Formats: sequence, C-alpha cells, structure tokens
Amino acid sequence: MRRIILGCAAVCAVQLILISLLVFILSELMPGDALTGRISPSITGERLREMRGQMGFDRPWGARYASWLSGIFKGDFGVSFSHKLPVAQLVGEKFGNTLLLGAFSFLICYALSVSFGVIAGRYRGSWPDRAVSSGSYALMSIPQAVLGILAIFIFGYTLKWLPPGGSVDSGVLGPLALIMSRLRHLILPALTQLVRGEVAAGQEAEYILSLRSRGVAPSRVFWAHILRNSLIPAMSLSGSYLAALLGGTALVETIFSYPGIGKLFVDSVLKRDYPTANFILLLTAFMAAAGTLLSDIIMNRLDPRIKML
Amino acid sequence: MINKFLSQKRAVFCFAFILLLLFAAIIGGAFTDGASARVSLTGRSRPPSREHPLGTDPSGRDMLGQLVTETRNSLLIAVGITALTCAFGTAFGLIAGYFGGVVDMALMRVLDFVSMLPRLMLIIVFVTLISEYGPVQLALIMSALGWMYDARIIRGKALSLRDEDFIRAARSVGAPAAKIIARHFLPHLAPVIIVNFTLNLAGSIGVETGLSFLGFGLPFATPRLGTLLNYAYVPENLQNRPWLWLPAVALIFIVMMCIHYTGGALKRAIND
Repeated sequence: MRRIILGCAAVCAVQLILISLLVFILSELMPGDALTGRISPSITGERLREMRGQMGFDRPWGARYASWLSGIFKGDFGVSFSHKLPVAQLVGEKFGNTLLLGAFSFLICYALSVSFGVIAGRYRGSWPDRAVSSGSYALMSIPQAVLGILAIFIFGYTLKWLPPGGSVDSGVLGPLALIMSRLRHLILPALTQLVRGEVAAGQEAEYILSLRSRGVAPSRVFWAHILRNSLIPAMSLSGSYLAALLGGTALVETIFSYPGIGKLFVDSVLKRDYPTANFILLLTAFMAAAGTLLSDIIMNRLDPRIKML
Repeated sequence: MINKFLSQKRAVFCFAFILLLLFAAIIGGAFTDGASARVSLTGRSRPPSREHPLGTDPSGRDMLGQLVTETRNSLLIAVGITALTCAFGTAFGLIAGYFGGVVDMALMRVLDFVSMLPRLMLIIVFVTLISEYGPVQLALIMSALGWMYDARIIRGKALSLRDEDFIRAARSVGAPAAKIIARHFLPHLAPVIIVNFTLNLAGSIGVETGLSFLGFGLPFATPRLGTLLNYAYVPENLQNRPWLWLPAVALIFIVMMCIHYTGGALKRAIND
C-alpha cells in the first residue's frame, strides 16, 4: 500500500513540475511584465532597464524559473497587477466559494446518480429504465452555457424562484438566514455544473449505467451492497470530476457571476492580470493532480483488485 | 452494422435532421449573407415582427438571416475541429496500441498529464496569447487539448488487435509498421473512429459555445451560434430580450441531442 502511494505521488510530483514549467513558459509568452502599468509614461529607457535589472528580468530564463518556483514554495505568488494585492490573498478569498460549489454539485451528482441508477436497475427494460438511460445521455449533452442561460432565464427571471447570480443576498442577518441564502445561490450553478456537454459525450453517463447493473437487488440489500459498491465508480469519477469541475468553473461561475476562482480567472485574463491568472492555472492543475492521486488511493482501499500505475 | 443503425428509427431521424440542417444552412447562408448583414440604426433590438420574424439585434440586423449564417459557420467549424481532434487522438492511440510495451507506457503518461490540465482555462490563455486568431488556430488549440478520449479508446482496441493472428502474420513476413497500421488497423477500427467522431462533435460544439459565451470565441468576422449566446452575457438582454439568444439556445440544444442519439445508436450498432 505504501509503495503504491509513493509511486502515485512520484508520478504526481513529476506532473506538477511539468505543469509549473508550462505555466512559466505561458507567462513568459504573455506581453507585459510586473512593471507594466506601474511606471510613468515619461520614464527613460535607461531607468527602465535599470528597474528591470533590479527586479531580475535580465537574468536567463532558467534562473528566473528557479526563483519563481522557490517563491511558490515559500508561499510568495506575486502581486496582482490590477488589484495591487498579494495573489495568494486574492485567490484565497474566492477559493472557498469554488470548493463549496464543487462539493455541493458533487453531492447532488452522487445522490442523483445512485437513485437513478437504482431505479433504472429495478425496472430494467421497462419505461423507467429507458427514461433514465436516454435522459442521462440527453442531459449530459447540453453545453453548460446553454443550460446556465436557460436556468437563469426560467428560474431566476421568469419564475423568480431562485437568485439569478451572486453568492449571497445583501443585507441578510443571522447565521441561519445567511446559510439559507448561500444555499439558494448554489442550486442553479451546481446543477449547471453537472452537465458535461464539453466533454466527449457520455463519458460520465456511463457511470450511471454502471450503477444500473447493480440496482437489481431488493431494498434490504441496498445499504449493504449497492451503496458500498456505488462508491467505487463514484470515487473513480471524483478525480476526473474534480479536474473537469475546476476546469469548468471558469464558465459556470461567470454565467452566474459567482465569486469563485473561475470568475476571477476570466476577469484576470480580460484585464491582462497575469500573476493572478497564472496562479489560478497552477492551483487548478495542482488540485486536479491531487484529486487524481486521492481517488486512486481511495479506490485501491475500497477495491484492492484495482491495480495502480 | 449499417442495418443495425438503420433499425433505430429515432437515431436515423436525428441523423437526417442534422444533415438537412447543414444542407439548409449552407444553401440558405449563400442567400442571406448579404441581406442579413444590413445594419439599421432605427430598428435596433426590436422584438419579432412580420418584417423580421425573429426580431433584430443591437445593430438592427435581421436575426433570422443571421441565425442561418451562424448555424452554417458553427456546424462547419465544429466538424473541422472534430476532424483534427480525431486525427490527433487516433494517431496517438494507434502508435501506443501498435507498439505496446515501453512506447505505450510512455505515451500513456503523456496522455494522463494532458488529461489533468484545466482545458477551458488553457484554451482561454492560448486564445489571448496568439495575435492571429481564426478558425484554424482555434481548431489547433482545441484539438491539442482535447484528443485524449479518442486516444484512450483507440489504444485499447489496437492493443487487443495487435495479438490477432492476421496481424502477427503480417508482422512475421516483415511488413513495415506504417503499412500494417494503414492496411489492417485502420479498416478494423473504422467503426470506432466514426463513433468517436460523432460523440466528439457534440463536445466541440459545447466547448466552442462556452468560449463564445465568455467572449473568447472567434472574432466577429465569423459569426457563430455562440456569438448570439454572448448577448445573454448582458443581464438586460437575458431578462428582457429573449429573441436575441433563445433561438440559438434552442438550436444548439436540438443539434446536440440529435448528435447524441446518432452517436449512441452508432455505438450500439458496432458493439453488437
């Protein structure tokens, strides 16, 4: 077990170093640097070269990569161009929101998948089975932008059941009202995050179908067998789910103007605030790598027959 | 296999619908290109009327004519992106599956690495980096980050194929790898490649739509259905001017469903 975990972690570490190189190269390609927007237009070329020298921009790229990387290990992620705040602080404020949304949507996904899988299995071959099978394929095929827009229009503006955007109502008092307000704001984005029109179709619908094959047992056996066995596909899904989820937050959070790191990323790219965008890119890739590692380990724990690497 | 597909009526209907839509959009696009691009400063953002059945956009252009042009562009761009993605993925999977062993292991590590990257975010970064942004560049970026699903499936099939007797026979008489892949692997994997293409087509439309909504889509010189979705980015349009984006939303929805049913039916047809 320990050997397996160490092996996975080693692969993970190599992947992370590659990702950090990729992000560094991308940031080198981006026009502008930390001085852009901070200097007066009347500055002389000489002075500018001097300042760039002081900040170490004239060193070879290898040295700059090393100092950038060691800065990251020390927790120094740079300063946002547009907010003039340390990037770590800026992203940290939004990160919790993104995690909350992700956890909420994963819970909904899991609950829906298990219950629909069980229903489809119980009534195999009859109409509920067919409805779930074709319904899950159909739902998974809608692009997030399309579903998000429709959801806001129908539930947010026309029926006025749920708030069309944001993460919490202004002027809410008391902890309970605050929690309720937050939950209400989570419902639409979390449901939108479930659909995966962006991934090659049906990859995740197969998860539901794999549950279907377990759904034939009588209800007494449900808790003992089905639920426990449903954890394996759920966990194997959770790693890729985390990656897809974090990658997709940019879209969902922007549609619902939800203050998470995805929306921050889109805003940063639009404002050419590269330190922030780079850090979010790095963080997202890191979370995806960690998620994959974690789900591999959990899967191995739940079902030792599954071979790693 | 073809009979098996044709026996699934709903899928055949969906397939026919996509073909018909593409055909109608290409023919119709040739007629509407000029007329629908006419700007009218007095008739901006008007709701549907007899003159403009789907209303007008914020520049006073006819929405129906634009929808036709955009459907054509969207479908053609999606087909192009998907073709490139499938070519990448199939080549990668074939090489990994044909050679197996160390080559396979190394290539699968690369695949795992790329699968982990946040795809949409990287596409956004690349899109902002390149100065000349057109359909070709978008297709290259999107396929460079989206070939993994195809590669995984093709590799699995190729791995099981390489131990078949006729492949061993071909190898034993000294046929070069390229020839074995082209003459034996490709024809055998053709049904799988077709299914992958169909399923990926929906994915391409999805990503392209999302990018356009966020404003990182292709420039306005190539209007697409996603361009219309971008109108919904403004709350005022989203709340009060549904004719700007609702037809595009409905059309994307229907097209995606049709592609899905077609892909699902093809998949069932080749698996039996």
